[in-house]
Amino acid sequence: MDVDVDLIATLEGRGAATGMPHGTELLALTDAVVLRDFDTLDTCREVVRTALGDAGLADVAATIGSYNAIVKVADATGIELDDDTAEMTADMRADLDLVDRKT
Amino acid sequence: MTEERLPDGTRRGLAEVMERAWQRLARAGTWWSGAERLAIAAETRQADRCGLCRARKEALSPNHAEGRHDSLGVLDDVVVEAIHRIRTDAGRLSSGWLKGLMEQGLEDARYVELVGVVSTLSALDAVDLAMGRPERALLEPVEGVPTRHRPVGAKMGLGWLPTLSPDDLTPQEPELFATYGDGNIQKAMSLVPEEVMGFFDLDTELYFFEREFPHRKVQEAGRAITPMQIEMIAARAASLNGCHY
Repeated sequence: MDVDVDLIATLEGRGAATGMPHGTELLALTDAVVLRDFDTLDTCREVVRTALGDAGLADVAATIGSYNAIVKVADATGIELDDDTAEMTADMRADLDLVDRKT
Repeated sequence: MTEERLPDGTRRGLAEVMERAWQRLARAGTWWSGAERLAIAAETRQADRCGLCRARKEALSPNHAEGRHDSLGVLDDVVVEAIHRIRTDAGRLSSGWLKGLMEQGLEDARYVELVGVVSTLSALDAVDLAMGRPERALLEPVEGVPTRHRPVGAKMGLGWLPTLSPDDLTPQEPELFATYGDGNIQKAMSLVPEEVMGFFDLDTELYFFEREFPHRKVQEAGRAITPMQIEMIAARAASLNGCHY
């Protein structure tokens, strides 16, 4: 299935605007876990489970776990983007007003 | 191809690497003992309850909030500072901050292994939180002596710390790049090769192997959500963590 995804909406957590199936539910759970929002966490989890089943929830949880960790490896060591990735994503990063961190 | 799943939906392969990661936290690493690695893990959780970290997170600059961390009182202050900042505000770390830690006596290789422990625990806890499992108690430490192996080929040139490239490896180091890829993210902790091996043992099941690895396609086919959905979640989680990588 080809889906056009709105990256800015994704980064801003506007799930419904992402164009992704179940985007709202996926981003709401991501936000609740990363921000440790215990007021909404249980509800967000059950909404994802209802939409995607136990296996879907487990794979969402795994992805959140990965990106709650690998970002710390990158940011705590000050590594830069690989050259080919930087080249490939230059326009996108400009659109998002991201800067390459060198120091 | 659908992977075998446990009753709660978790892939069996993921459950196995998560268990290995919990065990690894309790064993001696390269620079820290098992008890020290567990103390780092416990302090990582404590950071979520730290008033100074909360104030810094809310400040325009982390330097605007001063005071002492609400720590467990087990580790040195400089180690606590490293753990708490990586856990709660990694997106605003800088080379100057790291230089300050080293001037206070934190050795670079010890710092790298600490990054691996904090990141591993952060991954494991986030999965459990998302799944609705209770926070798992840390294991008892396993007796053992850190190997203190520092790769002779490590050198500055990428990021803030000495790193290895594939050409720098000697027979004393594991085949980390052949196993997990040689992108900058795999090189980031390569001053402590065993930490790279341990972290990516976990991360390649949580997420994926690099695109050039043939088992990546098998992994993608075995997921219960689409690769695009996975990338969307990844992008949002990275954004919330303030990651600029």
